[in-house]
Amino acid sequence: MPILTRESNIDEKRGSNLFFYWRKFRKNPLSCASLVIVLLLYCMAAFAPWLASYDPHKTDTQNWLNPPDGQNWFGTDRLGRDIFSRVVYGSRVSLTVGFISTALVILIGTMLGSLAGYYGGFWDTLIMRFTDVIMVFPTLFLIITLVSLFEPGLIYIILVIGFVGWTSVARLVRAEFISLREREFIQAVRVLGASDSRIIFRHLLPNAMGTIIVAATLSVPAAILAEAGLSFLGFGVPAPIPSWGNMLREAQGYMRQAWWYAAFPGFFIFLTVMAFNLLGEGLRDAMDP
Amino acid sequence: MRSFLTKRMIQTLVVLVGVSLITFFMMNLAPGDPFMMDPEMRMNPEAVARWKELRQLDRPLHEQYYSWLVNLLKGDFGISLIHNRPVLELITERLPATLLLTGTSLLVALLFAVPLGILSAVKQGTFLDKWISFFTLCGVSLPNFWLGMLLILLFAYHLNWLPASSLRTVGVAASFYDYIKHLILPVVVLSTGSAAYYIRYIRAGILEVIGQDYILTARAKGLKESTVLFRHILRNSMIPVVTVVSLSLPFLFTGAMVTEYVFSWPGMGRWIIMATLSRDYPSVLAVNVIVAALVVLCNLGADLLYAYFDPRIKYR
Repeated sequence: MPILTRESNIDEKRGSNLFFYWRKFRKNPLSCASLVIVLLLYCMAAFAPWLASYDPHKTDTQNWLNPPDGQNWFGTDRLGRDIFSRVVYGSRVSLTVGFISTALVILIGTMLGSLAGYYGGFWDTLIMRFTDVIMVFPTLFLIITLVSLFEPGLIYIILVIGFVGWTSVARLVRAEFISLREREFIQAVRVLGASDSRIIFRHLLPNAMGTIIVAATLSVPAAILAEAGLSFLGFGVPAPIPSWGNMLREAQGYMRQAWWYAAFPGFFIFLTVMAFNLLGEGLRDAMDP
Repeated sequence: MRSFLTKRMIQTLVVLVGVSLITFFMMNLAPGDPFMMDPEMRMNPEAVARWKELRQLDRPLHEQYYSWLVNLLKGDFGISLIHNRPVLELITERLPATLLLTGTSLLVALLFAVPLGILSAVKQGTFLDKWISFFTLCGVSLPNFWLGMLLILLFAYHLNWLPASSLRTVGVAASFYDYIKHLILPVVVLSTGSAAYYIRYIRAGILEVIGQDYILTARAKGLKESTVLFRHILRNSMIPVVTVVSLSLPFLFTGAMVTEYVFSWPGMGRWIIMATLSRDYPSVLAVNVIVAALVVLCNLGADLLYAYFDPRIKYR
């Protein structure tokens, strides 16, 4: 079966491509640093109960708005809760939103983008006009409108951010499919009698993977910023759950007395968003010729 | 050209109708009513029924949508359910403050972004380019509400140089100097993010032009470097600049929501948020449709400007 050997060759080549990407990625110190920071942040979220020095919900009316010291590294908030512990637990919200919303973004964007790019014609027009409609909405406004329709809760925020953010991924995947589908190797597979689904899943998607991975990495920071913004405006995660955005919201009234209240949660949003941006760019540089 | 315009007009109409349909049904199908906020109304079902009848909210949805559309074509955006005043009036009251803020920020951002973007592309790979790239990355990663809070903390509370909120000092006669002092911090916040974004966009656009064969030709035929830069590279790089500006124009309208919130700016931001929360359909619909129309028109404008800057682009 000549076809089989052909495909196993392709697989082998893809494996060596990954190695090639990794070698290129490794050469950029900033990309490596960002990868380490992202991994550390995920560890922080996973091991929050061990890392946090206090219960993030425990109030202490004797010690409210204490400046940072040896006991409370990032100080305490208006109810005497330890800000360091709340920041550690807050990473769970941000990273969950970043991860699941992005998964949704990629799923919807890839599905619609590949349908439009592969079949063209009527489907292309229908899907792309729908994409246009979603794109002309002011994003944050659309998210706020949708979120205000549901009861406050993390799950709705994740869903809404995912359902609003897929448009650029759909466009990228569509463009990639359109340029790929006319290539000779796709025509060859078609001549061999492969079905549409086999062409899409076995040949087109693997070739578009680089674009999709980069788009995914770069949509994580957008999702994290959207959640932080929502929580800051009061549409986000409901109050007792610590999230970096709603900590900043609380801090607004205590800016004069306690700089640390706003400084630390905000710094972690900045750090996370920056790390994912750098990681995405490092991946793009490594995968783009 | 004419058939291109006709095609684009039809596309524009489809998108606008889509936006209005989605907004209209999204807000109407959701549980909750505009008067849920008002406890007195919630107590009295009869009053609610009469209130609905008065505003024709008891009619079927498609009829409501139709009459809204007909009124819109006459230039009537409807009456706010919360403020009981024409939506257009509410918008025109708040728009100047928002435009002052967003317009100034756009100008400041471009003032920095265009030269820095060109500089970092022309000096690609140098120390300077790396620093500019690093700062733009910081700029796009900074949550603007946090930057706003930090600036308030430093310049308003600790140093006491600049005011922390509002458009002008209350109880003092309005003066140009007073407005400027209130503008500085929010403008810095808004323009940092957008300048960083513009710089990246412009840099990428110019790098693409620099790689083209005609630049190589221009150099090969012995043109002075300055001629190559101004006549060939920069003129062709106007396309990314035009794109970026035209894409950001519509957001002069709503783009400052969070920043306005942080600085208690008396603009559209807080009003839009409140209108959404209280299900003030006519206001939300109006804002959505206006912004959507602006986005589509600016896209069309950008397409037409491309042809001006790059004669090779022809629309059929």
